[in-house]
Amino acid sequence: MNFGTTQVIKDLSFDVYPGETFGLLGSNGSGKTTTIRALLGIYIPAAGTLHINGHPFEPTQSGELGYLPEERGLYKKETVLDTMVYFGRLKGMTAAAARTWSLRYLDQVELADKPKVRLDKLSGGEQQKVQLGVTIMNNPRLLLLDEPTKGFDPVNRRLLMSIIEERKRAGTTIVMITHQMDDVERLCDRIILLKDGVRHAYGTVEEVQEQYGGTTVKIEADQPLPASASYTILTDEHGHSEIALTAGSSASAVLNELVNQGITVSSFTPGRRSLESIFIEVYGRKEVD
Amino acid sequence: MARGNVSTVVSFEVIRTLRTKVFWVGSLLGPLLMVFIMVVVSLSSASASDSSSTVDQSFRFEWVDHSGLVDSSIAEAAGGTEVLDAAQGVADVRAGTVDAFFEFPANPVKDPIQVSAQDQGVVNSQSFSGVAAQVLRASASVQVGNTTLITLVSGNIPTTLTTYKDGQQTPGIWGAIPPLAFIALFFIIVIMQGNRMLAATLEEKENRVTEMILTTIKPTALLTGKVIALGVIGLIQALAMAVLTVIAAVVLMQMGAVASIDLSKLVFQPVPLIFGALILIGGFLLFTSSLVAIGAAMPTVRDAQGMYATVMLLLVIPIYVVMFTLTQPSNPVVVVCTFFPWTSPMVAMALNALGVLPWWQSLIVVIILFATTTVVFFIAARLFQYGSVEYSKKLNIRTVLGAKSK
Repeated sequence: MNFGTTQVIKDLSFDVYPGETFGLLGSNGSGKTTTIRALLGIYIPAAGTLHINGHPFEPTQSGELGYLPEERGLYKKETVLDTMVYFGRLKGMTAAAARTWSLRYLDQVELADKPKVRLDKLSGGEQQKVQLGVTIMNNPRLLLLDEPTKGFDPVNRRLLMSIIEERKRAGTTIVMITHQMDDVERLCDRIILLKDGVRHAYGTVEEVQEQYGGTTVKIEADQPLPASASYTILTDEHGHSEIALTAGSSASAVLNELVNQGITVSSFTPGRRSLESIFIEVYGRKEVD
Repeated sequence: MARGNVSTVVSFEVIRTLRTKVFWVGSLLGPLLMVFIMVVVSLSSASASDSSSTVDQSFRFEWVDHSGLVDSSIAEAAGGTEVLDAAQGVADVRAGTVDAFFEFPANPVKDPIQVSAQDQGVVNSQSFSGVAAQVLRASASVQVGNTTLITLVSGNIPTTLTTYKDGQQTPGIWGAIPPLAFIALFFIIVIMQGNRMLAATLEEKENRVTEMILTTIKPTALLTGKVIALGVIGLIQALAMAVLTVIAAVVLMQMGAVASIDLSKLVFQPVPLIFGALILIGGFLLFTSSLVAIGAAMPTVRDAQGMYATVMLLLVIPIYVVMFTLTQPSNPVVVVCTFFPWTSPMVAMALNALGVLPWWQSLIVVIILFATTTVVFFIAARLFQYGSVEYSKKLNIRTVLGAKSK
């Protein structure tokens, strides 16, 4: 994918399997949204296509795909219901079916009293809910969600995530761009990390965690941890640390090492490395900030 | 599904436009304003007629006649009194004892009548000159004594014209009126729908809807739906205006505010009507596609206004060229404007209606219009697709057209 003479996405290819939730991760400007736009033909790529079930994607297959773009917006002068019915019809539903589905969805997201209200009279969060409704109309088999929780308060974020989880349970394939690593760990089966338009890591969440240090330990101690050949310090702030064990070392050996050095350890929790620390390592704290 | 989506776009766009008050106010305000103006003009005329007769009765003037043509009885009936001295007449006007003084020269054909009068304002004071001329004209008519000769000399000679083409009688102006109506229809639709055409794609960009909608419908299908919707809306608007205009015309005719027209004299000739309709459709599609392309290339309505004005200018300029078509249909300016796509609709429709555009030239015009429309339409679709997420930048058309097709 090129913009002028600048190559933004370079030879990127990945598979998303039916029914899985796939995380497309990367820092700002790493090419996530551009990748999605190129796949959908919104940007014209130098090469490459999106294949769904082995067939190149066409907008006429829109019933199979639901897309929630990063840049949100709907017809602001139209009512909620008219807008939803319009998109439902574009996605292949009859007007009556789109209407019934929309009213049921509006009830689910606590907008049951707003179908006749113009969109520009709704709050930002309410508009987001309508936009999500438009995205998942007609039960698409593939959902592309670009930062789905952007602009949501914590309550509505939980509501939105429950809807996404509901779609996941229903067998919908979901591709999600997000910076919320806890959502990724909870929902995603596999992930890809993009950096400067290039694939940096790709696989199941566990595989990527393994690739970036496998076992980690979260430690609460009374002083900063010293450097050691047994581990790599991932984060160390205000007595809360996360370390990655190096090959051949074990959690119990590291605990003994710390205690022998006179460090008081109040909490010692082995586990897998968090995606957040991997993210920070890959993109660098400055870039992420 | 694509065809279904086009009809979905058409119905969505048409219904939401018809629901707006702005549409109906815009459609009906024009004819209502026209009726209002005609009623006011009619009432003013009646009032002026009444007041002019009042002036005649109260008008007092003096005159001196060096020509010997003025009939004393006519002048006196009009409120005049003959005096022998021009200086006395002027002095009486200055003193305010009379309203006016006319000095008829020895040779009225060569020299003007000298009129001195009380100042009634620039416009009203002209009536004194009118009365002076009328007194002389009426006096001259009495001397001629033959009303036929008077009518002929005054140049008021009625004629009837019958024309033939290929041995067949042609309908003349009554055959030209129906196809000429296409010009009015075209002009009204484009002028009234222009902003809506421009906003057709800008709305999606300004509201950030393009990304989402382009995953449900191809840009060409979306634009096709929008163009068809604009045509339907334009026809509904023209129909609403026509109905109101007809109702107003009937009312005004019954009031006597406008002269009655015998519509049964209209002749509907198939060939000019067919070509007129095709040029109308081609012209509408071309202007719509052009404005849609501008909307697709620009980030906001404000940015698009400059280009919009240029396209609208191409609609207005031919109005002046149409004047030429009546007198000089072979003028090079007329010829160029007939075949230049953006000026062609107005000029070609006029020439077609007046019967000076051969059928094969009409056909060329139609082909040019539809071919240009096709090119502009696909450029518009390309601009819309490529520029759909350029929410704040103007597009570089060369870059867009040079980009590799997907």
